[in-house]
Amino acid sequence: MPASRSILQQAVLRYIVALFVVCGVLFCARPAKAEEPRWGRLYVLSGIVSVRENPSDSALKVRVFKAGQKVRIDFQEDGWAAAFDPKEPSRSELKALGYVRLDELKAHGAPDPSQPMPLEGNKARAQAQAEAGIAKAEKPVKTEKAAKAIGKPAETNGAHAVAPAQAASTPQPEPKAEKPAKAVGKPADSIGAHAVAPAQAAPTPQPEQKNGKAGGKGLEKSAAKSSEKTLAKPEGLPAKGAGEIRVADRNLAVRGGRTTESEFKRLLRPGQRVRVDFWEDGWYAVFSPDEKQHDLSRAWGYSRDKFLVPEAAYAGPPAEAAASAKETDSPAVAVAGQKSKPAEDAAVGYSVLERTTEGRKPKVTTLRVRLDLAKPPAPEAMRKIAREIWKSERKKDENLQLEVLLAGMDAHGLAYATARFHDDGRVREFWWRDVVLGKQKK
Amino acid sequence: MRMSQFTFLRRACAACVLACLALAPGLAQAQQKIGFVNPQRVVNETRLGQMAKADLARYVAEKERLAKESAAQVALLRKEADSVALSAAERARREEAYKRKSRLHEALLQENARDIKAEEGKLLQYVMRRADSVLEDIGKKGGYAIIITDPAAVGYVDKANADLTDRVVRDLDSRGK
Repeated sequence: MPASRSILQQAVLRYIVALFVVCGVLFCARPAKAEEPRWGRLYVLSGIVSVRENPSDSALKVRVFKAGQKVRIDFQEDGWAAAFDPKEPSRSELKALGYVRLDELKAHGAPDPSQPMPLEGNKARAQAQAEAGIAKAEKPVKTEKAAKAIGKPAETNGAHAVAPAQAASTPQPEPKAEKPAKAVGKPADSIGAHAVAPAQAAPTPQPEQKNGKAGGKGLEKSAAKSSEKTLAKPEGLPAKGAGEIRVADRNLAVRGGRTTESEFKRLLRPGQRVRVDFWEDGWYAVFSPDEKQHDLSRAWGYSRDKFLVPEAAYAGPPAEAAASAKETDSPAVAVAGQKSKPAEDAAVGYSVLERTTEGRKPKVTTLRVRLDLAKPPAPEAMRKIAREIWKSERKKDENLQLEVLLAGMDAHGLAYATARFHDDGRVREFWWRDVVLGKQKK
Repeated sequence: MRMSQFTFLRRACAACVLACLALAPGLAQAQQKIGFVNPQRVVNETRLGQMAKADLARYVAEKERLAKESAAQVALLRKEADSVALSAAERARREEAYKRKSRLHEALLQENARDIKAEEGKLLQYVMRRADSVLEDIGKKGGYAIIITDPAAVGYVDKANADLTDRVVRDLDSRGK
């Protein structure tokens, strides 16, 4: 009798375990829900529309929208509106691609009939979240503020490897749970290398390498995972001391600590192979792929786990980033004014030399940065670079102005360019000094 | 006798040596010269100075653009406040907005003037620092004890002998090439 009971118990247990497994598989296999932003108004353009840096006819023309292109429009004021990437999830004017005249927009475009009428402000966001079931995962207002405060759209796209197009098109909202870590981390203000890098339209995939643990995972799954629970311990986590080869799925910063504000160490390019290990709080320790000793002290630094995908799952940078970079005439490419050159060549690195805050009210913080350029880019490109650096370096409610030096210039001497900004990131004043170059620009 | 002659010669030699020692600084002093450089001419006539002026002009234009934008906003608010068909409350609100903007505009103009002056000082200082190294070279090679750069401190300059401005302009331009 006891024997038959134990057999019965075992059968029930097996049944329950099987049920759990089936449920788990079904849960994991569900398709990633493509979330359509629910703010602003989506327009489909039928002609060319000019985009300006500020809502003014005299402002710099930063790009042109072409016929057939979709844009998201919001923040309408005085006949002007801010234009966004259609996939832009956060309703923040900081993320705007620029400003368009409403009459020009309406003459050459019409609201997208497939998009439901948007709801305004928080109501829309609340509803969108309720529908997506992510109300708890992130509070949009806080996320938006956090992004503004840190000035980095995300550790990947942006993060000191500021890729303007990616920043505009594929922002990754920083998970709320990461905030404490940021607060703990000491901002690396003194010296840090950074890069204003362009969107990578078509990175070269690395040669495939078999990896048992990584092989079973799909990109879709990792994408879904990254958008839903960024700090959850990733599946197939390498055992400590073993390590695993992964690839960066986009421009990715390697930092000195497990916070986005830690010192910048280096930039991983999309498709670049690294060995990862010592996962903690959503961050991997990153090693050289040839590293044999898994000693933490030999690590290059730390990077966010969600952007380090298994080699087998890597299929180029996120499609929306590449598509958007192509479609929206990527400002990143325009930044360096090298449209014909490969995107990688257009990356501009910079290092922070000094951050000083004046005591008078209103407090003004001056950030001195040095670009990794011996010769200055065109003024328009320099404005864009300055704007990207401002977005990356500005802290919450900070009145930050930039002084930009070029390679080889005296760190305490007169800067080449100076930029001051409005609170929303638009350039308020920008000027440069040819005299510091010592010779006339041609 | 011999002894006294020897003593006399010795004393004469010593006196000569002492006289030479006493006169030497005076002779050296007489060889050292005083020069003068006109900084305004250095700025106006050097390539570096011309670039500094172009930079300043660009800066002034940027400031004027800001002032113009602000003035246009003030004018618009004035127009709105003067509209006929307005309720008393709405008129008061617009009047208040206009006054606030006017104050901001005034502050902006003052800030602009301050900033332009500061920028001018920075650019001038930059050019003169570059000129300083040229002055040092000229001073050492030409035996100048002092080179004056403040026109207000000079009553008369012998342009042919003491005015070094042309030389500084020439040297500064040749260094920039």
